[in-house]
Amino acid sequence: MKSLRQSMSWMHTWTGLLLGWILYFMFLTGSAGYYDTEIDRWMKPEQPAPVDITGDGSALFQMGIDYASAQAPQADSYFVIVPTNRTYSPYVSVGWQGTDEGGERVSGRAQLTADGQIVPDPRDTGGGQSLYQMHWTFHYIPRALGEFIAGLAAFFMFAAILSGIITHKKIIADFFTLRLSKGQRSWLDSHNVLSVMTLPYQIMITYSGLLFVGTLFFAPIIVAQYGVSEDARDALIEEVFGIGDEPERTGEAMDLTPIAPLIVEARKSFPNEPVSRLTVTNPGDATAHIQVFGTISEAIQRKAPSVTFNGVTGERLEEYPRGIASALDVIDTFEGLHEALFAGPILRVLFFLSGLLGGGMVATGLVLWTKKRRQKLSPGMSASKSLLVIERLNVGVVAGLPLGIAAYFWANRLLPLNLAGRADWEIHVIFLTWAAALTHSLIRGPKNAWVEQLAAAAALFILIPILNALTTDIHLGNTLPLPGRPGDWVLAGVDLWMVIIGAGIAYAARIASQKTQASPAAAKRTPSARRGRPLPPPQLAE
Amino acid sequence: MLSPTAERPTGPTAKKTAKTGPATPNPWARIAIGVFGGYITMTLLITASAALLPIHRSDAVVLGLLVGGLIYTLLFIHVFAVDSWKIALRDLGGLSAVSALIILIARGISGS
Repeated sequence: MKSLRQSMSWMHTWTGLLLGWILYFMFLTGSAGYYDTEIDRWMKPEQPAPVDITGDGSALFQMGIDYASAQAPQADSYFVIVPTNRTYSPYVSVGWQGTDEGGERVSGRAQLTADGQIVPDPRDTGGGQSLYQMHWTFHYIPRALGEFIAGLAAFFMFAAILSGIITHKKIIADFFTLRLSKGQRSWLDSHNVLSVMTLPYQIMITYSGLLFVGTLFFAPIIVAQYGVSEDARDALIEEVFGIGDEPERTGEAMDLTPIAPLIVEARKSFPNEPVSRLTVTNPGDATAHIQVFGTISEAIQRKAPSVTFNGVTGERLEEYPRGIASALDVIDTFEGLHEALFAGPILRVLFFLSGLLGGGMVATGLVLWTKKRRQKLSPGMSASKSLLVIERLNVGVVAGLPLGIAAYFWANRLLPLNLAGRADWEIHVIFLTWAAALTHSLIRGPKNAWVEQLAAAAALFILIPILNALTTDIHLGNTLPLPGRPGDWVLAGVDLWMVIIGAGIAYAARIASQKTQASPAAAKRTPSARRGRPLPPPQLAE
Repeated sequence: MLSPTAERPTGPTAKKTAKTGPATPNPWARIAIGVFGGYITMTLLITASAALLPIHRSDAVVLGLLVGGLIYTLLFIHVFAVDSWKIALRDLGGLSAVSALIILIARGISGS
């Protein structure tokens, strides 16, 4: 009987390998999601400056309500969101829902500037949201299928993490061990260091990801308690999430109460955070009520406190507090950690880097798998076709995806503004570039493909600020804060990140290039050097 | 190198295999049992626990969603930790059968 550690090593290899490519995609696109609203702004250069909130924002809320009631006087509900922080749109967002005379559902929404002007439609773009959302929807497949695959990948990842922990004899030593230029040993060390350094993040992001798709992925748990009927669904929503039926309209016309006093009253319940959103149900009717929300990103828990008022008299009806009180609160906390909406600039950088390191962890694991198989080959024995193909595809996946993401930013600036389905074409550019990278790696072989694709990705990223300067006015020359000029750190930050990411990839390309040049000489000296030295178990156990 | 969880060679080929090296590791049976068997067992286990515990069905759902991933992963690890896939199948099957029995008895008692 083999030891548990050896069993886990074997399981770690297979669980990591099976969904490794998908996990790598999820890590990279998910990491971009930490800057989704910033990328949104960068990708819509035509839009005006963001709304600056003064006071408690009650004037903006009142403006939003007035606009919605003028646009849709018969609507069943309105919402207004003001930009209290980066989580929200930089303008006043107004929306409404209702039914028309034929009984059809109708809805509308608009974005307003501080003086009530409609924000003109920007270029048709997927923005940061599409990039972020594809890490669990995968864009081209039905959303439910995408969520299920994401759940399965998260489950495999979690199993791989736990088995990886069990496998390690010296987890602390691994944290400080990185032997470079040692062939397969270097890949193993890199994999270990990246994993151990970000271990708490990896555990959190994986399990919280599983919770995000839990209602779909673990649907039988819900069905076992509630069944599958429409009534069961309503009962579930009401009992678990506390969302009941809306009150019926009486038909008695009544004006809405002014918003400003309600905001003052609501903030007594959450004095440390601004009001970000309000919803109005049954506006213009005697049954109207107004729910005033705090900010979802103010605390780790992904839940905004709220106070509900009678929409006519302004009487306080109920309060929805935030607090660790139930299993649902634990789930909300995990989900809050996953999205990191609460994170300030420095913590956000750490989340972003941890996500990238997670991608690096998966990538080194994928490469390590092929290195191990190479090392097992007897002298003079050639690699199997499947190993050759996987080696090459690994390059296309690992180096090709950053190339595709960089191409996405280029597409945003270069695709014709009147192109039909422009936002979709931006996404197509990612995957077409990625497909081209896979083809390139199959043709050129791993050594050449590593260098060429990493160099291409680095160049594309580093040149983005220049492309931006040539095609828009929101370039570093205008956005970088200077003495006497506030600038715009959000837009400047996106450009600067592109250069930093490009520099990082350029460094990787340089290392790959040095390896490629050194490899033939080393191979000449010691024919077995390319295969590396055998490693003791359990690290190599499979 | 011998795969840590390669099934022990038995039967007429055992001697030959033992001389020439390890049996080819076959992870697919364990992966299938871990993924599908683990999922079924986890669902039954959580449903049975909900039947035994004096909690409302909404709490049972939320608790189930919260710990489902952990239980599923532990079952999956167990499938890889035991000596052969047959033992894994026996363990998961047994746990599922006991859970199903508890659910049937509980529902029989409550009349739902």
